[in-house]
Amino acid sequence: MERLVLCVLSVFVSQEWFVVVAAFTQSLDSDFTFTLPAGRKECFYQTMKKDASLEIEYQVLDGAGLDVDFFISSPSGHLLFSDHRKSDGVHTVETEEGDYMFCFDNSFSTVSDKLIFFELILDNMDTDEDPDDWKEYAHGTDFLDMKLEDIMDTINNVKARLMKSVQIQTVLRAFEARDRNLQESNYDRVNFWSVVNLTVMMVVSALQVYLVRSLFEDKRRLRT
Amino acid sequence: MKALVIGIERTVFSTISGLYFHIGETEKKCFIEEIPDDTMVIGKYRTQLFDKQTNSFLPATPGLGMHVEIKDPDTKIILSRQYGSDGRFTFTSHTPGEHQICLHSNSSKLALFAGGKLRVHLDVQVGEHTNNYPEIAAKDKLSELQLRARQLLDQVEQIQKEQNYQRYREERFRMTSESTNQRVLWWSIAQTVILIVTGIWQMKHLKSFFEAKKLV
Repeated sequence: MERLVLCVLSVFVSQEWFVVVAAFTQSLDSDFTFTLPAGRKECFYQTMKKDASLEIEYQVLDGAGLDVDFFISSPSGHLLFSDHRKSDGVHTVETEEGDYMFCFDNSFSTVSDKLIFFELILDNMDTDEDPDDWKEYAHGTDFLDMKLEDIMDTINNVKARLMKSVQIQTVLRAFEARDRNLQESNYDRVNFWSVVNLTVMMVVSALQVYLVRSLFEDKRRLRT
Repeated sequence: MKALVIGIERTVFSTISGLYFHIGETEKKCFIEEIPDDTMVIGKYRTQLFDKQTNSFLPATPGLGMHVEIKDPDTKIILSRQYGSDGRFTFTSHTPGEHQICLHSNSSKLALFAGGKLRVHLDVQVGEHTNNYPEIAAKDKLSELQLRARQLLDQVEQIQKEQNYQRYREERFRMTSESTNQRVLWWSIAQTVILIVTGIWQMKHLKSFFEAKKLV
């Protein structure tokens, strides 16, 4: 009887500990890739809570000089960070309550569209409902002893590491896409200029021959 | 059971992550998602219309919808549908590559817009994030530990798929680079040969020309 009570108690204790551990590993992120036309400015807004943290990372993947203007401003309209013609950047903001605005500006370019990738990582948003709190939906009970907390800790640890892994993968994907676009434009450029080069050479060669011949033609006429 | 239904509803409609942007009346906003094949993508959006009278954004105007168009890496349209002011679209990729998701409003009633702006909240989930775990728990009758293990497995599988796709892209990249280098090499050699041959021909021709005209 006593053992049963102890068992039941340990059930409640462990599950609560598990919920507490789960709450601190909340991290939401989203990433977007879009084309910014020449001479345009595009703005995005993100609603934040107080004392959360917002990390934004962006990269220019394609388009002429691979650079763009970027700035981020707080809900009160105060300019927090401003980058001029950078190829990539990372900024972290400790947030207050409200909508943060960040903009990508391609006004300095008149002809080239920029392909821009950005990623938002939000921390400590602690939403009222914990989306990972599946206690209500899970069926059956786990047979518990004191070791289960350790397993839960490990699982949360692994989950956090995997999230970090996914973030790194996203960054690497952006780098690779940029390098690939650079190379493909190189390829096009080499093809085009080679053809131009060939044409110019032929034309110049023919022109030279014609000019020299015409010189002599005139002289012959002059003499006779 | 009721808790389960409420739970599922909450997960679907609750936090659209809070990122929003403004879109004009005829404007089309496009986003690119580069994904491996056989990956599910779920997009959710919520619209609000700017009301000049109250100078704020009103929620969910009925009758104002968004047209969603999704193109696959071969620029073939795989989804082209109209949704309401709040919508949810989903597709699964069959070829790996850059898929394009385009949104534009379908307002035929200009009065609704009246030169104002439309605020669109957008949330796009890819791959493992599309899984609805409460639903999976109910269907397979999993305990919490099993559910967590299942989520970890799904995540790792997604990472593995992405890495395979990355390897395929790197191979293509390497082939293009090598092809470029080869072309540059062969073209330089060809140019030099042509140059030399043209030079020799020029000299020979001029010499025979001068001799013919009895100048030399």
